[in-house]
Amino acid sequence: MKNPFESLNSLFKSEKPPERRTLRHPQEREIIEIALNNLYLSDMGNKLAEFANKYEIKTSVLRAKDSRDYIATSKTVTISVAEDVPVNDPSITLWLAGALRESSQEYDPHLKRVSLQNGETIYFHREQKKLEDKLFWQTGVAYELGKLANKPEFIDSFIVMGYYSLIEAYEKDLNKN
Amino acid sequence: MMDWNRLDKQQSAHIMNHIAMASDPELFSEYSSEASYKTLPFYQDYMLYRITNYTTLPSFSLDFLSDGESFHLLDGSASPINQVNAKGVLYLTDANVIQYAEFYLSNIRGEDGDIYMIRDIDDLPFIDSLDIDQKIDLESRHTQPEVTKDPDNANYIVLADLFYGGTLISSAIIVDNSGNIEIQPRDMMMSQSLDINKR
Repeated sequence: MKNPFESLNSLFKSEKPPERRTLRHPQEREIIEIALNNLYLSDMGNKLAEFANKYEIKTSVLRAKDSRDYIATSKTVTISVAEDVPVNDPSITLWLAGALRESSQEYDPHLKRVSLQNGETIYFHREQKKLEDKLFWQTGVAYELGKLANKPEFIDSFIVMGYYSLIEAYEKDLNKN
Repeated sequence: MMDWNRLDKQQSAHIMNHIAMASDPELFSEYSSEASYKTLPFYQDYMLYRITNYTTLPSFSLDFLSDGESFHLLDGSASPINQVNAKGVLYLTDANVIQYAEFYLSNIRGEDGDIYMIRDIDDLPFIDSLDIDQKIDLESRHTQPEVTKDPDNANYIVLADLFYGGTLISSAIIVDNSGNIEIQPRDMMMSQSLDINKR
């Protein structure tokens, strides 16, 4: 590890251009293009990219402190990417995969978002199903890119996101079948 | 630091209109989103605003420093805070400089992740992932933040423990009156002040 004092003080001195009052990431187009190209390299990712094309999902990238937040609706997908994260960081592709899957859930009556007005039990049960489904797709994309497309950085990134056990379980299931 | 307060509908709409102009009008609407604010004791006119879209779980939030007209997105870099400080709205005192340093550090993200200024060990977000020995070790070495002043230049010195990149950093955070921050090893600062006392 670098000297932490040097590393921290360089963060405080970094000078960026004056605020342009824009929330959009300055490299939005490049980020989306790289992430979609990555998705096309896996079967499951390909399905998500095709979904985005077919339903004309408007994809945007905002700059923010953290690179793990997103909003997905039936028409739009917005992810956030911190400015210091490289545009080809594998995690961006995996977050986009999750966001696109969540968007596509809106076209599935069994996974479509339900309102809290339907009751807390129904709402939380649906949210749990949506989460499991989204994680299954993210795991599939990470696995296919890492193991089949020979890009291990995607599995490493998914593990850093805290999902080591999901990759293991996914591989076990594949071997069983 | 103070708790979040919800803005009423009219104020929320005003803030969201500003944000919509800079992003996407559909992203934060009054039907899907909520705006809240925190007062910051070290800023005059500027407050911390948070816009949250609850459409998806987990919810999606963006934080801004704003005086109601000018909005500075807290994007993990020092630039937005430095830009607000340059407007001359920062008022540092012995009583609020620790809060300022904590605010500054908590809104900057480094290569090795978030920077935590430790007040209460139990409040650290990762505390449950440490084993009992690590926790005891952290508790035995931790001291509460305190403030001194550099007699030579009137800069504040906040002596505090930071946690960054998996390391406990015993640090002296030098804060000048313009809000600029520099971090030095605490041991070095302590020996310097001892030298000053000897003179």
